[in-house]
Amino acid sequence: MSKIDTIIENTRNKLLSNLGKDIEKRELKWPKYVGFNLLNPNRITDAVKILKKLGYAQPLLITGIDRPKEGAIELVYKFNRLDSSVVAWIYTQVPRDNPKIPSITPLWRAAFPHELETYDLLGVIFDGIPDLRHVFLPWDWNLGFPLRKDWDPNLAKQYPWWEMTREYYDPFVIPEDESDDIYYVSIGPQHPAVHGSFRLILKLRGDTILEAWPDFGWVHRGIEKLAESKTFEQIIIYTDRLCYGSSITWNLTYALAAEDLLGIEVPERAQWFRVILAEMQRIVSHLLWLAALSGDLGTFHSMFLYPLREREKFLDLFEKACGARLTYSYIRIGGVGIFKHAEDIPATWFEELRETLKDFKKKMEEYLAMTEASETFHLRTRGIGVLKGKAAVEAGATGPVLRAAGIKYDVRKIDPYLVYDEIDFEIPVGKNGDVYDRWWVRINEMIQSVHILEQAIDAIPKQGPLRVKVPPAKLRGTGEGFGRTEDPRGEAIIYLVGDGKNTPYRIHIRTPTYINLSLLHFILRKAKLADIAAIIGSLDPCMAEVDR
Amino acid sequence: MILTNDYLTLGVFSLIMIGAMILAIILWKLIASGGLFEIFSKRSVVPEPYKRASYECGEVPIGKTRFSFDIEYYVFPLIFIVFDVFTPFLFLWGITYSPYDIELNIFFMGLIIFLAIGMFIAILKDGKRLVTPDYQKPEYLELINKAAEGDEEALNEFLRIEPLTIIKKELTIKRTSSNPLSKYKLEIPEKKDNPIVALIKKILRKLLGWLFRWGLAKSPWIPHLGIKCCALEIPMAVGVSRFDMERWGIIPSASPRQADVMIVNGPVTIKWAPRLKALYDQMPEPKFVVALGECAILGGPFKGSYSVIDGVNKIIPVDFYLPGCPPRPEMFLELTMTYRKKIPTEVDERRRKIIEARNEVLQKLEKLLSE
Repeated sequence: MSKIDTIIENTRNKLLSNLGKDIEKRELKWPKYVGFNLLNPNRITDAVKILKKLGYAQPLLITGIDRPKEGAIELVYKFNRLDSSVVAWIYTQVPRDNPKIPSITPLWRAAFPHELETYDLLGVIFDGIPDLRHVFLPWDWNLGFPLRKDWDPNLAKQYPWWEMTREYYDPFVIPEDESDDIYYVSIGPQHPAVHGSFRLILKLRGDTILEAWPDFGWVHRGIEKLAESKTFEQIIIYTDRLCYGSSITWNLTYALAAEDLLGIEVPERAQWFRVILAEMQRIVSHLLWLAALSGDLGTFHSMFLYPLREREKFLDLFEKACGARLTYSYIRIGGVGIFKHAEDIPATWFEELRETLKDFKKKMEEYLAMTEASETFHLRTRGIGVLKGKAAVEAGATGPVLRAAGIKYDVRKIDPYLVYDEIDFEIPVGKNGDVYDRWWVRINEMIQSVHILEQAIDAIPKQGPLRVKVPPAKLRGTGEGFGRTEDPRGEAIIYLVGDGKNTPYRIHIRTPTYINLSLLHFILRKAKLADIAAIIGSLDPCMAEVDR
Repeated sequence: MILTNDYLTLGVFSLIMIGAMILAIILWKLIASGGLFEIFSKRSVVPEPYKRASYECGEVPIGKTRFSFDIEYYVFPLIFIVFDVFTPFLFLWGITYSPYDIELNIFFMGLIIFLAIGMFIAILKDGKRLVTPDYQKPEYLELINKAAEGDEEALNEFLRIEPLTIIKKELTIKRTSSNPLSKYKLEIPEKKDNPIVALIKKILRKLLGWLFRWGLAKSPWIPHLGIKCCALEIPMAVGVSRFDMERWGIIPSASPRQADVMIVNGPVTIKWAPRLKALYDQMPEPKFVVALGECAILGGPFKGSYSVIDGVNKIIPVDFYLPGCPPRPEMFLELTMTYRKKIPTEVDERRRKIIEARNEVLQKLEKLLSE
């Protein structure tokens, strides 16, 4: 009996014996995950308590699916583990006209952003959540919940956005009797330190931050709703624009989910090529982050320019392969590229990539030496924005932020997709969980990515198709699709539900930066005002991805 | 011969320097707004309410924008101002220090004590006043009361010193009409001068106007606005080594108050829209807007979404459209060429047109509102 089977067995036994009649087993499509039907939604807290005791690390995602025919909203909870690929799925249903369920935020802080989002777009009310409000929609939105199936889109036109004198501060009510030395500052939505459009509300005494509230939703485009009316193939362009820093990895996550739902096998050559593209994208994304962070630290203008120069070389390679600089739409369902031109990777492309990598490695050494020698850099990054160990897991961090906190967790190792299990690479892990460690982890990830790319260039089959032909009739499916990848910013998940049409019934996207940025509430406590640029920069925010 | 005498040289150059300063001030007083030969009209010719808002990041402050500072922050600059100048003298004193030079020692000790006492008095006298928040001062409260009673002068004064939302919080102003947009109505003032002044004005306008337009065309500043994808290409990718927009004089500016061309690089959501308008209002005239990428032009792939406004021209008037998803950096450089050709010739005409267009948009909105 393998380790995964023991964990699954154990979880099943514990939950079934403790909750008795309120829970039942649910057969999932994937043998590596374990599923339950919670018949009594009020006992979700008990189930979660047991899962937490069993060693489940974080609520990966919480979302809802509106089912008007059954008169219910189906809620899906997913919990991951740090030591194995097992994900516990709990399904439960709440009535549509009175969607109430106990909140698990008091037990598990990481659930907070997910629950807020589910309330925001689906109107499920979580009892006991500290602060129930709209995140992505404007705070005074009262025109219904867009992700409900019977919601009338014309309602949105009634929102009076042209009224300039609306008071936007209200979700964060300022007490009247506050003493005079405490004041509030709002940073953003247009501010060089916030990397896009995002607002941070700070409560300050002097220049010490007492409390911070991130305010999202500035570029909320409603991708989840828009995608419900698009075919599976068309949705690719939305995944491109989910995060401008890492289009390919989002293409990949979506393609994995859709292939899972539609039951499509991808040829081996395409899998290797996907690995190459994803790792290139990781380097590109990290280079962009490096430039932005260095710019934020203020003293490193050369380190703002150099990484972007290196980035251009990788963008050239992308351009040669697919013709676009930023929004590629290159990884498609069934493989890579447009079918007719799938064989059109230029013959010298791989050689050029190899040369670029050689050059890049040399340059990286140079940059590292340059940065490490700077005393200012150490002063501005060490011991600042600390989030480490269990606190990071508890709060829900994933990706480089979690690894910098000293936790060895990488989806590529824990739940390998594509051909990552055939590749040899290491997971860089930090110690202190401060800004410096996040910098160190990402730099080393780039070095590991170069290592992976070198292996992949050697291993990719010289001949073979890059994409399977999928007839339109096959592009419709029922059931669920689950794509889980390691995005440059953390764990990315796309969860698809199909109902037999050529459009998805529901698509849910777990964006790592949304969770990582909600950590600001913890990280910024007791920090100095002057450090917030460095702290936000170290989390690598991508606001388009946060807001969807 | 004069210059051989050191002190005379110093005197002559001092006089030249002071003269140049006075000349510059007089010239500026003449040509700036309110002067005899006024050729630069007031930058706030368009009475946009958000121009006076104290924040520059799109948000409109609520509560007290003039909060009290801790007294220590006041002491720091005082110490700095006083002793920063004094330190070099202390340094000299320290080098030549001798316990027997009683005269000098007494002089320096006396100076330090004198300055310290002066600083102490300054803190006592002004510190309390500065530390007291404006809204607690009696004259301010009086102003509020007057404004609330409907005194127009007091109201104008209040509008001048405080941004918009505070009015809403603390006073309920009875608007002339229920339409909140009515106060955005714009008018271009027309004045008639006597012929000589008009002639001088014309000449000055030709000379200085050329300089002004040349600067505007050759070096447009763009506010630091990053909404979505296109922000990575413009201004980020064009800002660095390969494309390097600084060769064309384009510099990103952190504040909208120094910017000339606003680049809207992404879909504008219902949450962003009022803030974008506020940022646009805070830019000085003449200002231009580029709708960059499909999202800003028409909504792009997100057209029809519940939270995206289909096109930025529904909020602010747009001068240039640059299609693409995202547009290539080379396209943006091409745009700067177009901008250069268009700007220097017809800034004033353009401004007039912009104001008209804006009025049109506002009228449309008014209609929408009244429906």
